[in-house]
Amino acid sequence: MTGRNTASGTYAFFNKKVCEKEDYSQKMMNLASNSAIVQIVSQDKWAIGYVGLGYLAKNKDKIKGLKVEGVAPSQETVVDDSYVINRPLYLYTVGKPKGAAKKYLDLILSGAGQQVVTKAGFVAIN
Amino acid sequence: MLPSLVKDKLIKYCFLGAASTSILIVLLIFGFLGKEAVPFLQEPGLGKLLDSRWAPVSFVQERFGLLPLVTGSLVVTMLATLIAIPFGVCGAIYIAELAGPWEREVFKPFIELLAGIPSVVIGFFGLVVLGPIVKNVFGLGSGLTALTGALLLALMSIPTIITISEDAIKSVPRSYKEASLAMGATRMQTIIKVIVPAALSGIIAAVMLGMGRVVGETMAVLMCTGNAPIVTLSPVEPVYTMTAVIAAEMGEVAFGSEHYRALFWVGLVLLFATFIINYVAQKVLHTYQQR
Repeated sequence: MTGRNTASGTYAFFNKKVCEKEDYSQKMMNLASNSAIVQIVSQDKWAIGYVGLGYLAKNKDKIKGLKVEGVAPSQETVVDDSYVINRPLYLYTVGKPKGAAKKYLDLILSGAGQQVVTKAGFVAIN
Repeated sequence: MLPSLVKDKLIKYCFLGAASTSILIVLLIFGFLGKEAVPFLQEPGLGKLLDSRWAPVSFVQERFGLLPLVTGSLVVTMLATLIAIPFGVCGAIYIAELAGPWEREVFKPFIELLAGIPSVVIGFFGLVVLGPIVKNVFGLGSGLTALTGALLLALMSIPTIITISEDAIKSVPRSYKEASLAMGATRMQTIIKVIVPAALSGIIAAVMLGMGRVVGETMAVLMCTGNAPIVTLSPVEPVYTMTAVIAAEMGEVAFGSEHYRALFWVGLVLLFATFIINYVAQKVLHTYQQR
């Protein structure tokens, strides 16, 4: 059984949404990265863990995404919310973004930026 | 030009300053750790650290028991030391007593090279190469166990043990060896019955200093021991060590929270453990140097 460590947002999200706020098992390995989880799960027939959608896309030959309520994880099923284990990611700034921060946010929100998101296997804003 | 007496004094104080820097820094670190850890005493109280579970982020109840972390560090350290002793001590005996000058020329640089390998590289090797081997040999689900970490740490402490034990063995007076050989003892008998006992305190100190290195090592254990906070003394279970907890969790912990303070307690316990080990090692080393 593998999971992320407490430094990860996914750790808290999965804890809340999937474990319904029950504590994780003590036997869960607190791994430092998504790729460490992929590594362990791919080596062991019985291992289970959670990673971001992008890591599933990149490692299709190594790990298998589980169906939830009969729905397999994919960019489409996340968009239509039929794959229920999904969450938005936010970017924060102190006050109104300006300078390099504003440029960075503009790039991310632009069509080109969102294309990068999709290409990395994650889900674009709209 | 300054008068030479003043110059002398000035230079002396510069050297004194340089020499006391390390004392100052150790004190500052102690002070800093203490300052961040102390508020935990009032809220939620020291008793929280005696819990048997480490679950610092929880919707049910945050738990800060150090027990799984202490046993985790203990298992890895003990195992690593047990593995390192035969290699380190036998290696030192060979290099000090049996190896020819030519062999010594080959061994020494390689041992120094081993000591210089960055721990993250060793950790990477453990994750990709050693982990799967341990998994297959013991038929485990995952290769990330206390044993995997211990093997890597043994690798890292062997150079320390060899170098210091070798010094100890070499400083056994020649007359002991010559007397033993003159009495008709063989070379092996001399080594085992005379030289090793005479150098024993130095060898013990070497092992303890190696242990000091092992307790504090972070990167390799973070990558290779599996990081599951279970209380166990089994070598083939994943364990979470004190160093790994701090490295993994300090990065994103809420500043000033109970979790943050608990991590400082982990740091204090760790510092205390290494302090004791080094202190005892120095004591032992000192007694043998006096003889």
